[in-house]
Amino acid sequence: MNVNETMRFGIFKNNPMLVLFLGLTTGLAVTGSLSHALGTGVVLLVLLVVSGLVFGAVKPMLTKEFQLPFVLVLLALLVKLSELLVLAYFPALGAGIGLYLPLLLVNSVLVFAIGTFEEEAKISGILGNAVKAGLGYLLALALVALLREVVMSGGLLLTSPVSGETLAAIPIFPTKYALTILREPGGAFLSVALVAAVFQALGAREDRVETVEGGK
Amino acid sequence: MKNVNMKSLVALLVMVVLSGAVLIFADTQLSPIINENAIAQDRAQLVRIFPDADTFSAVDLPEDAGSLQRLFLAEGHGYIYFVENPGYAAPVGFIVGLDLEGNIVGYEVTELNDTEGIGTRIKDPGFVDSIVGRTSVDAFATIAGATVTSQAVTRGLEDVKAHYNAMMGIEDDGSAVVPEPDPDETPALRPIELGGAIPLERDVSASRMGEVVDVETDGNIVTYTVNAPGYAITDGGYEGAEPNVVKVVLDVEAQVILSVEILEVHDTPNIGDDILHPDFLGQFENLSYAQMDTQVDTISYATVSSTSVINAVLAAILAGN
Repeated sequence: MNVNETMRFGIFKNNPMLVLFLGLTTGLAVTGSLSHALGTGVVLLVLLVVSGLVFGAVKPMLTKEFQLPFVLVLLALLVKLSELLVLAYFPALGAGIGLYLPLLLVNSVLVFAIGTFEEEAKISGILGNAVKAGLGYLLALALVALLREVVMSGGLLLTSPVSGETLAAIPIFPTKYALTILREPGGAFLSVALVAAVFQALGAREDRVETVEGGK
Repeated sequence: MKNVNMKSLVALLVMVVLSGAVLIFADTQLSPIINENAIAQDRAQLVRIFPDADTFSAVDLPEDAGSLQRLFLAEGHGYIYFVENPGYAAPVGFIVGLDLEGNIVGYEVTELNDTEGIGTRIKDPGFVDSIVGRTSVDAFATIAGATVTSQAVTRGLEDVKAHYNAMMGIEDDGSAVVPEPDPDETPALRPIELGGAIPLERDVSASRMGEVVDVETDGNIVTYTVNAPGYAITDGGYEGAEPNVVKVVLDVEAQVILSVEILEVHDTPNIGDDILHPDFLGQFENLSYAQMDTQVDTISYATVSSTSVINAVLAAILAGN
């Protein structure tokens, strides 16, 4: 697997969080609640699309050594802007994610998925890769959060990102059987590992299918 | 420098300047909304502490702020702390307002699930007055009989004092002493629950009957001192338990109880000792016992202790007859 291949993101094969293990800090921190995980995933997806658009448009003007500094300034702007917007219009989500919202700045998915280190210069290519990475990351966050929240609390509690009010409370099994260890950091790692194993298997199958088709 | 691509450099510089401008603009537009969100859920309480303040803003607290949950600045008026500490049964939450000179101007309990009548005394006017009007260098007394709950408040107040004094540069030499409760001041009485009226004259087993230990006669007025076996003896089974001592004054001629007074009470604090309550004792005053079926109320949650007083009165009446 060469570098360029690794940077082609996907949903199962090369999922940014569960196969490449990028953006794990956020992935471990916000997956205690499905509502927060979905909110974070959507914020990151929007960030990827906007930064992919801007960087894709400007990239042809930049020499290689200027690309990383430009991306860092761009991401600093967009992440700070998204933090202000979330705190202003989705206060419950902002309070739930807390520090991990500004920390999205150092989320490596952002830096890699908009093609900072790649030769690819076409805006469509950059955008396509960014959207795939964003969707893959959103799915990964959602699945890990689903596993964690259900197992550690015996059900799901979906809250409004604006008011924090409960939108839906879905009890699945009695709370006395809940495994609260999944609330802890160790439980978060365990959950990521479990879901990652499933993704690795699915990605490997995709690989095999490709190999067989290529051999025809 | 000659290797530097000018187009790239300009693009980067434009990006930097543009970012700064956009963020400054966004910040001025959005920060009032963000601030309003931060105080939205607490606004009603903030206004109660500082009714004249127009602008409130959230102030960041340090990580190790202990029991301090949130802090707000009431522009030009003072600060409001939201505090939470473990109580007897559940967390005790309260807010404290201090003006800019360090005077405590407001105190309000926001969350309390401790025992009704005991822990809830931290809401009593007497306790509120022991906090409001003092300063950030004063010490605060707990409530005897409701120590755990009131300590949740006083420990929280210590955190408030420490943070406020550090923030305002006020020196607290720690010399303040905890005020002793004023012995002349009767504490604010909580209401008691009367219920289960029983007839004054009825059969009482020997073990529960009052025992007259002293009689003073002044014409028709006779004063009896009666030992009344209370909860501590009859039901509590405490080692070395002592009876409650009741003073009963009768007009034996008119067959009227003039007064009933509790000289000693040895039953459970905050439950049995509610027999001292004037609402309970008051019902005996000028009560005629000429009729056999005269009824008096017991205290619904302190039946044994209150019955012991009624039995003491009965013992005095029987002695008088």
